[in-house]
Amino acid sequence: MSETMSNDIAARTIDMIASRSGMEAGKITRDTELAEIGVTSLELTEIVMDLEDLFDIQIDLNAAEAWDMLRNVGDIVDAIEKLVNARS
Amino acid sequence: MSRQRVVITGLGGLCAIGTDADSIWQSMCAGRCGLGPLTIDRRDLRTNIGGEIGAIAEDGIDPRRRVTMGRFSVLAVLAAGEALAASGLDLRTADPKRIGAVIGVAIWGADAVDESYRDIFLEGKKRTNIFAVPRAMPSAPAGQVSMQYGLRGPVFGVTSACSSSNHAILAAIDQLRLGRADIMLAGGTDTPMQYGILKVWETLRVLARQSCRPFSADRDGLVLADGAGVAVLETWEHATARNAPILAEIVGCGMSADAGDIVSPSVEGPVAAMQACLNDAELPATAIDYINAHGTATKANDRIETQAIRAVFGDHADKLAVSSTKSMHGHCLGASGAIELIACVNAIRHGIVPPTIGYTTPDPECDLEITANVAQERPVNVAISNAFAFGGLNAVIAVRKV
Repeated sequence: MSETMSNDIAARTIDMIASRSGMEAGKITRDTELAEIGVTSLELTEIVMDLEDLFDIQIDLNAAEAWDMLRNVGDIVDAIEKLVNARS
Repeated sequence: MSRQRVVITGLGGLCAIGTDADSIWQSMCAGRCGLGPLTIDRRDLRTNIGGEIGAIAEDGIDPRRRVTMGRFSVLAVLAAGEALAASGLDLRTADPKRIGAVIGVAIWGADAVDESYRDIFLEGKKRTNIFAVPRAMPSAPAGQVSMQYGLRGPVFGVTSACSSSNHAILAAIDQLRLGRADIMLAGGTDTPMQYGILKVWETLRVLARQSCRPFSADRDGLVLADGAGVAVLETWEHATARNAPILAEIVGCGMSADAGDIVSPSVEGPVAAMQACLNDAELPATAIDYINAHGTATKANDRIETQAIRAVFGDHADKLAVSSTKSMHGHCLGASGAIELIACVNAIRHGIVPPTIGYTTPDPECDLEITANVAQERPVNVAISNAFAFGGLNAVIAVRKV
C-alpha cells in the first residue's frame, strides 16, 4: 500500500472519530487515547460500524473486544489498514 | 407489623432445554445445552446461534383465541397452565377476584411485529394482520393468562428488560403482602428468535459467536433464546389452608437502579439490590448457599457481577456456589428470572446446584466458586436469583427451603 493511501485511511478515520466525539480533527493524532476524548464503548462500536461502511470492510470484534483492543486512534487505523490490504 | 409469608406452590416453563418445568430441571442437572444453529429464515444475519423451542404439538388453546396471540402470549399461557395444574388449585371453587397475574416482558410480540413489517414493506400489502396490536402489545401475555384461566384480581404486565421476570415476581409478592390477592401467577415471557430482534442485538455486538460461556475467560457474549416461566405464588395461610404443595418460600426481594448508563452496568446498583434483598429477607449474607447469577457471558456483566457479589458477601463469596444456567437455556430476556427460579427452587428441593456449562478457562476477574460444567450435589437452604438489566434496573429474589 502506498504511503498516500495509508495517510488517507488515517485522515478519514480521524475525521470520523472527530465527528463522533465532537473534538476537532486537528487535535486528534494516532496517539490519542479514545477514553481521553470521551469515547464510550458503545460509541466505539458505532465508530467501528461507520468505518466498516466507509471502507467496505468487516471488523470482526464484539463491543468488549473492540474496547479492549482498540485503545487509541492508531490501533483503529492499523486494524483498518490490515483489512483494506487483505482485501486488495 | 407482621407481613404475609409468600410461598411457591407451582412452577411452569418452556425454553430451549424443555417444555415443562421438570424437563427443564432434568436438563439443567444433566448440563444439557439447548443452544444451537438457528432454523428461522436468517436473511443477512451473521449470528447463527440461539435457543429455539420448536413446534408445540398440542397447546390446548381455543383456535379462535390463539389467532389473537403472539407466540410470547402462547408460551406464557402454557407456562401458567402448567404451574396452576402443579399447584392443585381448583379454579372452579376459588374466588377469581382473589387471584391475579403479573407477567414480565422485555421486548414485545416480536413475531407479530416482524410479520407486520414483512407484510407492509416486503409484500406491499395494504394492511397488517387485524390482530397485530393484541399480538404485539407487551401487556398481552398478562391479559391472555387472565382470560385463559379466569383470573379477575390484579393483572398487569411489567417491563425492565432482562430483569422483567424478577420485577414481575416482586410486584406479585407486593400484591400478596398488601392483601390485594391470595394467589398471584408471576413470571415472564419473550420470543427474541425473530429476524428483527436478532438483527438489532447483532448490531449491538454483544452476541456470542458460537456458545454461551458465563464467567469463563474465553466468553464472548450472550446467546438469545425464547422462553416463558410462571410460578404460582400464594400466601402461607392460603396455601396451608388448602393443603397446597409448598415448593419453597420467597423470603425476600430487593430492587435498585444504577441511574448511570443505559447499557453499561455499575457495581453499586447490583450491590444495592442484593443487599436490599438480604435486608428484606432478614438474613445475613452467610445464610446464602447458592447464587443463580445473572451471568449473561458478556465481558462486562460477569466481571461487574463478580465484583458486586464480592462486595456483598465478603469472605462468604468463596463458600457459596455460583452458576449461570443461561449457558444452557440462553438469555430468555423477559423470561430469564422465571426460568432461573425453576433452577433455584429445584436446587433447594433436591440439594443439587445446576452447572455453568461451556466453562473452559478460569478468569481472574471472575474468581468466584463457579459450579463448572457438571451439576454438584450440595445442600441448599437459601438461594438468590440475580437479574441486572439494561437501563441499570436490578431485581434480586431470595428463595428458602420450607
